[in-house]
This record gives sequence, C-alpha cells and structure tokens, in this order.
Amino acid sequence: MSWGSILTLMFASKVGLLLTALPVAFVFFIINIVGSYLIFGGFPGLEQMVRNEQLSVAQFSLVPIPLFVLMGEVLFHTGLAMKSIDAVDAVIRRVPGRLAVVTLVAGTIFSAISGSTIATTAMLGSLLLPQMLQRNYEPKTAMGPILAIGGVDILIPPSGLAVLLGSLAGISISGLLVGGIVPGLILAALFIGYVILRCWLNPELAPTYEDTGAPVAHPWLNLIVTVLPLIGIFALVVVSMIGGWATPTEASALGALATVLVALLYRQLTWESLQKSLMGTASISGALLFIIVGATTFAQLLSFSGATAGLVALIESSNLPQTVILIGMLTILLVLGFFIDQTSIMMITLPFYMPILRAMGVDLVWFGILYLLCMQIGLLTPPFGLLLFVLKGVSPPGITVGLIYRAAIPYVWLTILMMVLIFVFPAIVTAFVASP
Amino acid sequence: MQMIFRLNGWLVRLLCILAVASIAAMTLGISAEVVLRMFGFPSIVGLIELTEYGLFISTFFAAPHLLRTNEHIRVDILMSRVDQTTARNLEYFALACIILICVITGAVSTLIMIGNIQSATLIFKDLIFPQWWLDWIIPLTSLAMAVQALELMVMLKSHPVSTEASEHVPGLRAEELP
Repeated sequence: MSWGSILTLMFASKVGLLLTALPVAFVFFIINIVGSYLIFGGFPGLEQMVRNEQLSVAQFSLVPIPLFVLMGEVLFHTGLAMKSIDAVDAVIRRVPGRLAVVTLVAGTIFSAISGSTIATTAMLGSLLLPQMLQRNYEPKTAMGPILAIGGVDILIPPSGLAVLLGSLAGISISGLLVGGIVPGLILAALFIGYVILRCWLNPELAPTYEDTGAPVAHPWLNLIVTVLPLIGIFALVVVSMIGGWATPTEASALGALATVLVALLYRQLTWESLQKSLMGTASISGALLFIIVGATTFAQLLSFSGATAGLVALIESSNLPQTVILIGMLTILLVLGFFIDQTSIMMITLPFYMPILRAMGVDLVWFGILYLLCMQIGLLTPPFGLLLFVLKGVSPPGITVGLIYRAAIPYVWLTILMMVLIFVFPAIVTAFVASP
Repeated sequence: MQMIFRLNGWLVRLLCILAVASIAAMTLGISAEVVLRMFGFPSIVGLIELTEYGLFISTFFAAPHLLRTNEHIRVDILMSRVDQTTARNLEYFALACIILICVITGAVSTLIMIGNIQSATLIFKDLIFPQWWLDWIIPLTSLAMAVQALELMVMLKSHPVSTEASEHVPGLRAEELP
C-alpha cells in the first residue's frame, strides 16, 4: 500500500471515529491497534504499541504540564484569584467597558501564574460573566474578553501547551516560555485597546454603573499587596529558567510549591482546596497526557509507513518559496484547529513539520510561538474550541453556543493580526530569547 | 455484577488517589532537589527517573476516573445534534470500542509482564529494579477501564444520554465554580 493511501486511511478513520464521540485518546488507540498489527507486523507490533504507551509519557520534559496546571488550580480553588479580581477592579474605574477591561487585566495576571487555560477561563467566566450580564453588558462584549484571555494564557508562562510543544518538537522549552512573554503582553494590550475603543464608540455595549460595595481605602496599595506575590511567583519561574538555576521542569515545581506557600501565607489554603486543586490537576493533565499515550504510536505508524518522509519529500521538491510553505503550514494548523484538539494537532503535524523547518533553517522558537498562536485560535474556533465549551459550561441559561462562537470572532482576528506582526517582525519573539 | 462494579468503583477511586499522590510527590521531590542543589548538597539519586515513572503512573491511574466522570476529551459535534436514540447508540459504540481496546491492550501488556517476570528482565538506569514493577500498571488500568466502561454501558440502559458539551471538559465541575 502506498504512503498516500495509508495517510488517507489513517486520517479518514481518525475523523470518522472522532465524530462518533469516542474520546480522542481512544480514537488513537483503535487506529494504533489495527495499524500496529498491519504495519508493524502482527503480534510484535502490538507489543511495540504497548511498550510505546509506557515510554510516551515517562519523560522528564513533560512533567511541567501537571505542575503548571497545579499552579492555576491552586489559584482557582483557594480563592486567591477572586481577591486579585477585586483588587484590579478597585483601581480600574473610569474606563469604557470597565468590567470587560478588568477581565482582561486580571486574566493577564492569572496567565502569569496559571498554566491551566481551562481554569482561567472557567474562573473568569463564572465570576465576571454574571456580573457583566447583570449590568446590561451586551453578551458578546461580556463573553469575548473571557474567551480571549484564555489564549493569552497559552503564551505567557507558565504554559502547559508550550511545554508540550517544546517537548514533542525538540524546541527549547525555556525559549518558548520566555519568547511568549512579549507577544502575550502585546496581545493582551490589543484586546484591551479593542474593548475600550468599541465601548467608547458605542457606550450601550457596556453601560456605566454606580459602585454599591464599600470603597477600598487604598486601592493601589491593595493591588500591590494582592498581586505582587503572584507576580513574584511568575518571576521565580521565569528568572530561574533564564538564570540557568533551574530547568523548565524544576522551575515548574518551584512555581507550584510557591503558589501553595503563597496561598498558605494568605490563609486561603485549606485541606479541601488543596485536595480539589490536586484532583483538578490530575483530571486536566491526565486527559491531556492520555492523548499523548495514544498519539505517540500514531505518529510512529505514520513515520514507519513512509507517510512522513513521503510528504516531506513532496514539499521539499515543490520548490515553493519558504514564506509560502510557512504560511501553508500555519494555515493547515488553523484548519485542523476547527476539528481536532491541540494535543492531537501537535502529534499529527510535528513529525511532518519539524524536518521541513530544520531543513529550511527557520528559527524554531519563532515558529513555535506562531504555532502556539494557531493553537490558541483553535481553542476559540467552532466546533471543537475547548474554551467555547468551558464558557458554555459556566454561562447562565439563555447563552447559546452560537452567541459564544460569535463573541470569539473579533479576538480570533486580533490574534491573526498578532501572527502577522510576529511574521513580519520576528524580533518580537527572538529579541528576548537567548541564542542557542 | 453489581458487586464487581462496586469493587471496581473503589479501585478507580484508589487509582485516582494514587495519581494525585504521585503529582504531589513529584512537586515536592523536584522542588527539594533544586533547593538542595542551591545549598550545595548533591542531587537526589534517581529522582529524575522516579519523576518520569510518577508521570506515567499519574497519567494511567487517572484515566479510569476520567472515564467514570466523563472527562476524557471528546468531539461532540455529532452527539449534540442527534436525537436521543442515535446518541445512545453512539455512546454504546464508544463504550464497546473502549472495552475492546482495554481487552486487547490488557491482554498484550499482561503477556509482556509475564514474559518479563519469566526472563527476570531488569531496568538499568540510575535505579536498577525488575521491569515487571512497572509492567503491572497498564494491565490493571486496562482492567479498571474495561469494567468501568461495562458499568457505564449497563447504566446507559436506564439513564438518558447527556449531550451537554460542558460535561466533557476535564477538570471542570459546576459545583466547584465560585
């Protein structure tokens, strides 16, 4: 059977099985069982598949995924996040679309300490969406920033997906984490500017309201006291990596421990909140890593069948300009983002992409950040935008999935604008990343 | 049958607790390593290796619990657009596939484990220990997942099929939201 036929068959079966609502990891397992038996050669092939399952996640470089998620979960379950939102809310007063801006600013702060995009979106959605709707914010204006900030979370360290990308693609993990800071901040600024501009042009989108709660005596001091320790944790993670004192895995463990200690210092940590944080971490990282267990053999099958080499050779022989190939690669990621989850996209595309990128001599950290932005857009695009589901899960009744889809659209365009900026001005990423 | 399901429920919970304990141990172990190194103490021998096994254990031990709580990531485009009967049939199909996968994976991994016990295969890295110390994890997880999927299949007869997208988001529980 030719590599083209194998490639078509594997992808067709994957899409077909995904549509039956079989969990993604198990879709890979089924294809692996059939593929291993037929392509690897009978029972030894199945033995190889099982051995792969063990080896796929037993990797030190993947350890930051649960630990970064743990940071976000602790923030979420101890109530530290709520305190931060209140502190930000107390200083942002006379701004058009105030609560939407509070969402974006608080979300950016959380991004600096949470490696769990799901936790960040769920927390902001459940806390701020009801408040905004109650104050007659137009639903799309209220939901858009909550969805958008989940994407910023992917770029600003700690980021579980950046670790996963670095680990699977062989790109410097600390390079990706540090390289994502400036684009993440620019993206957050773009989102804030967009919200302010829209609400300034049309005040009906976010009507102003009178504060009914007790005023905070020293709002800026309160902000510093509340937010500074969280920024300190972010600094600990980033500086320990940049300074070479710790590997990304070690930095993630220090970050997780520091988050627990800060929660303890604020007297917010209870046995129950710690248990919930650990349970949430096991669920989120378990779901993610279990897909990797399945997808590793899938990637091996593609490679063993000759599909990877065949496709790479086809692209190399096409004589297309490098820019066209890169844009084509990013477009494929965006299209896949409509249908498949982020981990699967990585497992499917990276075996093809990395040899091509290395052959072209492209800066891998730069491309990695563009790749992560595509993953971010995938989180927001229907029908498999995970953050859309998360927001639907925490929305009050009456908020339809269609409305949530539409709320995300402007932020998807702004993210594409950010990608264009990075494509044209690579220094946005590379200027802050040490050369290998 | 109900007794088997109840026992398996305990097993699934126990495995999940071990997964959580494994994550906590990884956090403490790696942090301790960095702090010790900063103060000039030598590295903890075998910590990296233990952490790798910890990640493997936490991933596999959490999997049956994720199946039980419907938290494995899945695409529900079709599921949320079809009638109850079709949704139920799709759910039966998915669970049957999971059972089949677990039976095959469980059988192959058990044979590998038996082979490794018979040949006394050792893992030689920083730590040296028999291979089967790791080999039992996949068979046990496969067993727990297969029985869990069977229980869900039985439950499906008397319960309506949920087509709510939000229920498929890992780590998100409505009662925990602020």
